[in-house]
Amino acid sequence: MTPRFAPGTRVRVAERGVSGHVRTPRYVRGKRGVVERICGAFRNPEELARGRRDGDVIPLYRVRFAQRDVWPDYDGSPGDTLDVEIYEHWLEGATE
Amino acid sequence: MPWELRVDALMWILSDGTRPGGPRMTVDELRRGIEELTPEQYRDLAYFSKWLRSMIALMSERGIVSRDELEQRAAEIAEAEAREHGSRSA
Repeated sequence: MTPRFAPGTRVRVAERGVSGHVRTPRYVRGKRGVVERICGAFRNPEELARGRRDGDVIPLYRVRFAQRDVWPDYDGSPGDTLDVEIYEHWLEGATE
Repeated sequence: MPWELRVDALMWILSDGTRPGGPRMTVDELRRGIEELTPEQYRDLAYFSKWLRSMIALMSERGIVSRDELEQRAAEIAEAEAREHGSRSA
């Protein structure tokens, strides 16, 4: 599967509620960041967690967020960032 | 041997993909099993206790070993240890 987003692309994490095991932390859902790198492609942990082991591999990205964008009351340095590894099906192109 | 080491070893054995028949579970399933604990269990149980509870639930879910079989075997071991202890002190 060809990665949909190149490094440097602005992306937004999907904002959706889920039941079951997911690797996307709640605190970055709906937040905007930048693709820092493509980490490779792996089977979907949400499927693996339910015992499905023959699913497709999907791209995994390291997405960099400004801490100020993640935490509304963040009072550290404005340059502070947070990297989170997020699977492609959780990412949307950011229109900004 | 600390019991936590045994739990860790069990996790590696059950998730070993090179074993005949494939892995009995994945680390993703282990995480899901931990997340399915009750909030009270999640808060109160020790780290490796959570692993153990999750592995028991997964093996029971997959029909590899039932909770009854586990409890029966645990009772047998406890009995054997009690006997051994009894014969030593006699």
